[in-house]
Amino acid sequence: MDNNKLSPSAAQDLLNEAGRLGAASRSGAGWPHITMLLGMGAISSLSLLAFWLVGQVDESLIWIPMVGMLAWLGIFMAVMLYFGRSTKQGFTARWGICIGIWAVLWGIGCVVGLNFFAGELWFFAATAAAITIATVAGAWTEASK
Amino acid sequence: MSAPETRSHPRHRLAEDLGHPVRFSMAAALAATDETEFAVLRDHLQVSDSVLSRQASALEAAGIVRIRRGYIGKRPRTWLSLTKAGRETWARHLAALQAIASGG
Repeated sequence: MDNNKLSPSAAQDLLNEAGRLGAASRSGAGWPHITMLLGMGAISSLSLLAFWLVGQVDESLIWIPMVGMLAWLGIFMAVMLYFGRSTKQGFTARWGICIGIWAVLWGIGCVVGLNFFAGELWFFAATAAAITIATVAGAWTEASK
Repeated sequence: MSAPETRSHPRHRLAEDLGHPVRFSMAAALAATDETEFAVLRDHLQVSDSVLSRQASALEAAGIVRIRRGYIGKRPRTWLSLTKAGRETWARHLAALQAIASGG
């Protein structure tokens, strides 16, 4: 196209085309990352409750929910890496914030919970709830963009 | 019409690098994303691998597009994104088009 001969209607057509292409790019992007966030939130929050439950019976069995969680985490990560071919604008910053919050909450749940609140259901339930809220909010935000 | 009036027309603010239809479409699609894989972009724009590759390289040389190559397992993948300067160029280009469309 020749920029010097661009009429107002041709310019409007280009703007419409740009809008259409932008919307098409956004619509297919991000779902593997949304899946990863929801899956990670589900398995990590339920694992914390499982840690508490196992602690009531036999602490040496804690590896069972831990292995199950890591296996599912690997599955979700593989899906994200393989199918995640496009990310919406601003995703990198949003992802960093969400994963950072999750990592802090998960660390609190595991390190503080298992060392200082091993028999306290309320602590594991509260941490699991916070992880659920953080990851669902992150996934919801990403899906809404 | 005097020379300064001629230069103030919004068409002079259009980016020449984005004048090509495929490059314009590429920038429009990439502007909505942080990063897009080559095959996804090719399918969106409905162009061949060679056309997209050639135009992406041209925009990379102009500093508008960043091309990142990597692997997922053993499969090679290429991702494209707009650079910071590229996003600014795209925003200026869109603003100029809007001015032209509104009869500026």
